[in-house]
Amino acid sequence: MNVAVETLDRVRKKVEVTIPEEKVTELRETIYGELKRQAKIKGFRPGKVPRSIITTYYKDYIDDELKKRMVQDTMQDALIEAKVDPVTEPAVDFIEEDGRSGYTLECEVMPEIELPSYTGIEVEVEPINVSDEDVDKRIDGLQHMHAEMVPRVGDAKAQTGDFVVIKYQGYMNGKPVKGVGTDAYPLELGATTLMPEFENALIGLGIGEEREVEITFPDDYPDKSIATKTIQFKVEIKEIREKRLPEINDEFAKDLSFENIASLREGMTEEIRKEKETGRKRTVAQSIMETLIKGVDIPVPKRLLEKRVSMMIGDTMARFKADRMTEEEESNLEGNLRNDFTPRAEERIKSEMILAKIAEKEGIKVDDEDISERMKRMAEDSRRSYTEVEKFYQEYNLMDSLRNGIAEEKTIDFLREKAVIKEKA
Amino acid sequence: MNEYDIVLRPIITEKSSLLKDTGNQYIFEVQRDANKIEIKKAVEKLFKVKVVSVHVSNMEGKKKRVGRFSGKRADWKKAVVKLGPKDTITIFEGA
Repeated sequence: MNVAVETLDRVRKKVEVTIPEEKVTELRETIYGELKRQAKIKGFRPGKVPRSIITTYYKDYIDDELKKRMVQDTMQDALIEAKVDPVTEPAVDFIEEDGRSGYTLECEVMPEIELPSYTGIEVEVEPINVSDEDVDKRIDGLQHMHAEMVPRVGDAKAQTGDFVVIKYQGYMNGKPVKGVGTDAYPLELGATTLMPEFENALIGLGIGEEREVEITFPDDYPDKSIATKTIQFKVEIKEIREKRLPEINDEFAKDLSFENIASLREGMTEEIRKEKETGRKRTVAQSIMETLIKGVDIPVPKRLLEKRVSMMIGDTMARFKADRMTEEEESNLEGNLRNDFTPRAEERIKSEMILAKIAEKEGIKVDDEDISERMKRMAEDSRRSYTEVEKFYQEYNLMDSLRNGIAEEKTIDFLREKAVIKEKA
Repeated sequence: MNEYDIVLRPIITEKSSLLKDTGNQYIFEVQRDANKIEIKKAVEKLFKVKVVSVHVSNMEGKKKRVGRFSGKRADWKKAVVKLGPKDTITIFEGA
């Protein structure tokens, strides 16, 4: 086997593989051997067909098969010998010359890149401050989350902020409208989930009381069957519940397993700070990557990019599958997605290349311990056993991507450590 | 008379392949009322070869049954043609 490499451009290499005649003959013999046993030709018993007849009957098949096997048998070794590591499936082309057998592989490879300096990248970030206001808001949210719904009794009247259960039926020109009406509908007054006029009509109404209200729906109302129409509603209140907020005191803090209100505030402050810190970590990583990508000129292999984009589109389309779409809508959507995703995929590939390069240079490696630790964490998060997670990754062949993912994270951590982070004044 | 009306088709079987390899003989189905001389001339003209000898035999059509109906394939004439030592007929190499 003779291998010659030619560099076409920074991301493409052409590998020419010449296969010695003996090897070709050997392959051809194997194919004949297989055919001889299987070939069924009228006038001959199976296995007794002479070679010359097989040749003419199965000419195309033999040629195709021979080419296929040449590549199958030798491609891997050839690529190793050529020291080419393709990132996509190489495009095969056969040499059609007398006295010479072989093929050329057009491979897409990762380009050699000059890394810009990647330590001490300056990143500006917003300072992390947790204000009293933030904490107040958080506690406010908790208060609402733990609110109690107390039913009102007697001749109470509904007011803004209450929860009511209503029965209503819509009429158009005196006739009931189908689908516009229900026996029990829960509604928070003042949250404007329905038309405001409708909600206003309910305020001041007691349990069991009825009222009529006329509503003209706007042109852009989502339900097209009633948009622009005027509908009379008969509404009856069946139940009124008051949202009673718990008082914020030590008792409330204890319910949330804090000692007292002061420690609750402290705990919330800490929680918010952590969230902000996580957010900052992400922004820092993002701006580091942005700076790095700007600093290098990286050609992106075309087919690799296309493959990525198609994969992303496939994922998204699968999610949209639930919505029924016409073929035209689908192809429109696909076109839009392609435009959206192409730059994103390009950026992603570039950052992968840069990170991989940095990892290589800095000797950042992922060992089995890292992987098992990560899987342990995932098992805990998803409440599965460790072996289940491991099996899942092995079954879907995801071990490599997991390894790469951890390597990238490690590299980003490394970059973040080396970066100069400045807080905005 | 047209040569194609005399020589109808080559017979390519294990037996014919064997004969071709051992005695340079080729087997054809021929018109039922053609004689050896006509066959010789037709083969020489069609394949541009020299014919040494022609053996013929009348083949009886096989008896076939479909359920309770019995029938018979048409009878035919087989010719075994021996060529001169340097001649070959390429259509016997397959289709």
